[in-house]
Amino acid sequence: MKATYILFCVFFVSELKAQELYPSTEPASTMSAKSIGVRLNTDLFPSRTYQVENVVVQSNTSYRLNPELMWGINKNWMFHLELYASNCHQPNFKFEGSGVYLKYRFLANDEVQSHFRMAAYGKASLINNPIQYDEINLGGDNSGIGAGIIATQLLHKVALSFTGGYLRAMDNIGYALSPFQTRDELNYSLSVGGLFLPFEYKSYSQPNLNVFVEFIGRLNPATGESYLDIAPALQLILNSIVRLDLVYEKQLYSNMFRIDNQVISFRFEYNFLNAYK
Amino acid sequence: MLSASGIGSGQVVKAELQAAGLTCSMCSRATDKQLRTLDFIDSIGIDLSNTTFLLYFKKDKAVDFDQIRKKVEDADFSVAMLKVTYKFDSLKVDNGTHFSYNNSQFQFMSITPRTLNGEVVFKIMDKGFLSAKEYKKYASQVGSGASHVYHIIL
Repeated sequence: MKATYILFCVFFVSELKAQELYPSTEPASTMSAKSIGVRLNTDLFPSRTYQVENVVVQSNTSYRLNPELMWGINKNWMFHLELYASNCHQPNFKFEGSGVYLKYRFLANDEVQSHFRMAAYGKASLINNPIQYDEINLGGDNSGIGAGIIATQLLHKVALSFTGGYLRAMDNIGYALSPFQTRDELNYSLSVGGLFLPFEYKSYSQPNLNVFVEFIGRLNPATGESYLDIAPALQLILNSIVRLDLVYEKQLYSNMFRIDNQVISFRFEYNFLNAYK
Repeated sequence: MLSASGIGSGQVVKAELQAAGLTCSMCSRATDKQLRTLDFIDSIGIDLSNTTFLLYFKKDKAVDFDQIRKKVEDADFSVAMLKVTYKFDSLKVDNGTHFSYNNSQFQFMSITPRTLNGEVVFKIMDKGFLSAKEYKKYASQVGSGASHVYHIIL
């Protein structure tokens, strides 16, 4: 928690500029129209031990690869296509399925030093893994749908963003949900971000260093099970076109059966601005 | 005030555009790229810390300000200010005077009678060319307005 306190001090005291390219969540803003972005996300789930009915289980270190194609359709709409592969559910690395994400930015109140924006999103995934966990993860573990609202506000020198949504798990390809497994969950997150370097923008070629802290939570309304994670992150922007994210997401509390209580993520993103006419 | 019809004899020299809603150099670069797709733009200078673009135009092409606004919006941002440097050829102006340029009318607001000659900077006060907050102050004067009529102040 000391680290969190220090990060908050950094945000509110220093000469930061707001930054909303959140690594773990999407902002309400969309992409530039007619642009294409490519991402490669990698998640590393460290080995851990946990208890299932008096049996101590040691999980393997596993990792997931998640290539993503992003398309800025126009100023209001953007679309993502994602593919998933991992060794999270078996010793060998295998293709797990795919997902689509659609975002519609319906409100933008822009001022020079502040803005408030709102967007609605929907996500759908088709996954072929066995259903092992209570946490509904449309990013590789569960087939299903999700929808929600995002509100992003530039406030003083920080960019705050809230996401609230609903998740519905469906049968995975080849694996049906049992009556005892989770079907509905609520997801929510609060993100804060700021530009750390450079102190003064002069050119597109200057590397930018951004700092983020995100709180990511989940609630199963039927059982009351929930969790809350903290996800501090560093982000490097190179040549105003390449984005590198390093995230450490750590569980603050949970009474939900999850894949892991921590995950280290790395992301590479490249944008083709005005990729077509 | 009586409205006097102006004659389109002037020329757009350059424009200073401040964009709003941006938070990063990636956003500025996206806006820059969108603006560069306009065939009447010759070159763009940038003040990144103020998210301000200096637009220089080709001499043989007419400048379309609505297209400039649209390109900034395509990058998912907004125009907070558009200051145009225009070369006038002895135009007598008063409140409500308008002149034409590239099939559009430019109507002066809040101006004392004078003659404009040489390079003069004016600001477009229509919706989409100001921040939402600033537009509210002028909305009643500008009105919903016909298209191809820009309201301007010096």
